[in-house]
Amino acid sequence: MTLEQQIAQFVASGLVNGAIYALLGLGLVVIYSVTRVVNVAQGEFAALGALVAASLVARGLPYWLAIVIAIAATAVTGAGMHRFAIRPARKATALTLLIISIAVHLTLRGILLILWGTDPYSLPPFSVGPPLRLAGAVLNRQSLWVIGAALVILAGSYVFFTRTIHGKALRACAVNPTAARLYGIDVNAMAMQAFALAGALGGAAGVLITPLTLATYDMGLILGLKGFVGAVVVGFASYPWTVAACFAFGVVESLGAGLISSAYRDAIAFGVLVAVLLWRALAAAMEGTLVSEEQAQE
Amino acid sequence: MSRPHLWKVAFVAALAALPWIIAGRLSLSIFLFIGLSSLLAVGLSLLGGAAGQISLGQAAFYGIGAYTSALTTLRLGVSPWIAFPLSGAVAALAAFLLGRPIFMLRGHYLVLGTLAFNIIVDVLIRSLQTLTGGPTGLTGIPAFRVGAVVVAGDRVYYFATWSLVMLALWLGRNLIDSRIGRALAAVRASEVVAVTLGINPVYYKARLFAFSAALAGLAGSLYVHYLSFVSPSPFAFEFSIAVLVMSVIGGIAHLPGAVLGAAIVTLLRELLRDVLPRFFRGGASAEYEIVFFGLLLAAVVVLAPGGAWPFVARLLGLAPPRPSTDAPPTIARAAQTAVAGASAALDHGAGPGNHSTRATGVPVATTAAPAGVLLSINGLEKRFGGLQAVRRLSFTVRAGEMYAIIGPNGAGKTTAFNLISGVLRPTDGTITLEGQRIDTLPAFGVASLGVARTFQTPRVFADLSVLENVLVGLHRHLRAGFVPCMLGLAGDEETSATHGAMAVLRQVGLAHRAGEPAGALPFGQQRQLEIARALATRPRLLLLDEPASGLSATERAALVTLIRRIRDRGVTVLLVEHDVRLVMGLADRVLVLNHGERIAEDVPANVQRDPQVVGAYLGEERT
Repeated sequence: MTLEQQIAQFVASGLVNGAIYALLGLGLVVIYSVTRVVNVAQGEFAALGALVAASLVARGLPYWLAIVIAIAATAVTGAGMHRFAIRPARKATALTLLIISIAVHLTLRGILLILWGTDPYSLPPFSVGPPLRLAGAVLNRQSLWVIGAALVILAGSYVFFTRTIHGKALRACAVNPTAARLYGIDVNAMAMQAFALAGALGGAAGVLITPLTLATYDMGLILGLKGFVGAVVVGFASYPWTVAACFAFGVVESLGAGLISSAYRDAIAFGVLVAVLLWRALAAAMEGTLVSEEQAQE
Repeated sequence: MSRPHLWKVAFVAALAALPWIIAGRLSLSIFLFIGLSSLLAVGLSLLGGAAGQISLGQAAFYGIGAYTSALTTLRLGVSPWIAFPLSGAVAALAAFLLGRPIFMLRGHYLVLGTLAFNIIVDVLIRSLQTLTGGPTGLTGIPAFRVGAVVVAGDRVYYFATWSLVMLALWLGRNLIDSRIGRALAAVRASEVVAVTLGINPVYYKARLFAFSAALAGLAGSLYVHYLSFVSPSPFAFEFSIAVLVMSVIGGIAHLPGAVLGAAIVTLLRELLRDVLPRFFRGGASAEYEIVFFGLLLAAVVVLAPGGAWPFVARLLGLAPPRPSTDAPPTIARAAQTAVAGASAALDHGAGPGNHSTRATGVPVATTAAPAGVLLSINGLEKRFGGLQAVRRLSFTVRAGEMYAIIGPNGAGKTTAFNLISGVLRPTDGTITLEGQRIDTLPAFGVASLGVARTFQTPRVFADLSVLENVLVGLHRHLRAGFVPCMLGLAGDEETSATHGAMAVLRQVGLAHRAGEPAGALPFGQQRQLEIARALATRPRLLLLDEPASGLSATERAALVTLIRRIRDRGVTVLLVEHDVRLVMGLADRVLVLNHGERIAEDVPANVQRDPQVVGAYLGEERT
């Protein structure tokens, strides 16, 4: 393979990973913007979705039905996380909420371990056929499914947030919960829906990636953390830019791992996260504000 | 001896006797590991309790310490006696370089940053095989030696580890009780207010984080010299999670809780290693620990967010344990002496004795030339999205002047204050204080030039005592640095600061409530306290944001007297107020704002007659 072909290949697989990170990153930002919770358990939604789908398919359920059930299960899990872990402590400090999300991460991971054990599970590709060649890169069909399905889901989310009253209400809660409450929006219900939506997005990510990588109970942490990179780039602020940053991160990670060494894949990925944090801190230092406008107005 | 002291002595005695008590029955190494874990957990609890931040990188700093010691002794032939402090220093430096920028971002980015950092460190240790030996690790790490005697065996390392734990607890306690602990408590309560008092949160948080990492690094060094070999597995981020579980179970706001949590988690882990394999199919029992700790963490956070220490403390008959925010006893004692020795220092605004005069970094201002311009605002603009809050605003305030800004609601008065005090950045325009640009400075930088402010709704630090609120105001005049504070060497300065703070409290008439929590004060007194806190910074320019609103007639009269006195002492006062009568009686000059724009500026008598002003207030048609 020539270097150009290699690079094309890395970019293509980076976009596939980026699509997964984008689904997770969007979930993280939706939860954060509505509830100010940094959801460390986001990756567990992906693991749960993947394992549920894999088990159901193995039991002979139609593939599409297994996917629907898996995503529904993650949405319910997300809502449950809000109802039973976040909501009882909603008056607590940000630090406590963060610790709760770490606790939920561990607990979910533990439940997955008890139910599924340590063995990897697999899902068949969504469709079979010879791989496709695209600008020098070879892409199997599942990779295209991942990118395609992710784009459809992300576009759907975009329509939801900008065109439906429900989506706008969610965004209103994110911008100003007090004002949203004054306009009769039930902020608690909205927070639960944000968690359910993030759960569904995570579940979809897990189902999409499993035919390529296998599913294990502990796949969530690293996936979820990588979703954080895109969210951190934009400071948990903008949905579309989070998605864009996640795709870009997928490509950077893939190029880095491919061109340097795949043993360092995670080190490169999280090196990017640390670099992004430092870069944002530098920007904040240049601007010189230590206090956000939001805080100043409180 | 007091009860807490008795328990301390009993605990240390029990620890010291433990090797002989358990001899032949239990392995001492488990208690050694509790000590090592305690070091990590104490560091984390200090960070969590004092700075309100958590790190998921303690295992990484533990690993950095371990490998620093292992590599320098093995590869460079450095003596363990040098490698040991070096391990702490390297871990601290790594933490500082990571934490210093991340704290600039506020929020909880430290968790993400440290988690990522831990994974990176883990990957590097495993992958840089030629350096670190990869997954199999390194063996033959030399032990400490005294002359020709090799220091080895469980007991020596047990005592070394626990001595270090005691030292860490002592240093941490001192730090929490010092001006730095108080400043961090203020930052936790309200970062905005703390920075306007001249506190730079990033400075202290980064140092505290470095200290917590140093403890982990030292633990790592002890660990490798004890075992004489090192492998990557203890430094994976799972152990960072375990350390968090220790801190939270023990009670993250209590340093002794960290030791308690380390003991609970380590012992439970040993127990589980015996029990779990009987229940779960082969091999994966270590994995099942995670389930257990997840559930335990969740249960503690939901059911007993304060952790186990408060229960234990009650059981031992200790006074309800003070969370790290409470008044340290030294200050309470100093406050009593200060009250007893109440002197006439009142009118000088500083405490008695040379000490506080020396501490008066900024003179109490009569020196400024009366005619000189102190504050100059030029073409100031502030937009919030589509809203223009302040528009082309220009004015100057002369030194020693009492200058008032009035205007209808939404005129941009408070925004102007936020801009001047550095809480907000202007969209355009400049602000200069005695010729120095301050609009580019962070809020704590503005405060350190002698600009103090109050807030429209009083924002006292509710959990701190009245006295401590004022002491936070004095913060920028105190000099004790991080290390002296940890070593408990700042006592003299604290005493004189307390005298100074009491003097300020007497000025506003709150000295009798010095020991009460500020949140317990009625509204009017919270306003007075806010003014006292601002005065404690010894400002040249004092910004008062609607100081009279919500006050009774008597309180207003007292306020007018107080403001006059402040001004008579040479402090320039910039006043935003709705009570027009009060303003007209007090101010030398009045600026009238409407819709972010200046519509008049003159002496009170003329302003009252200005048709535009009357129009803005009463909605009359302009002629």
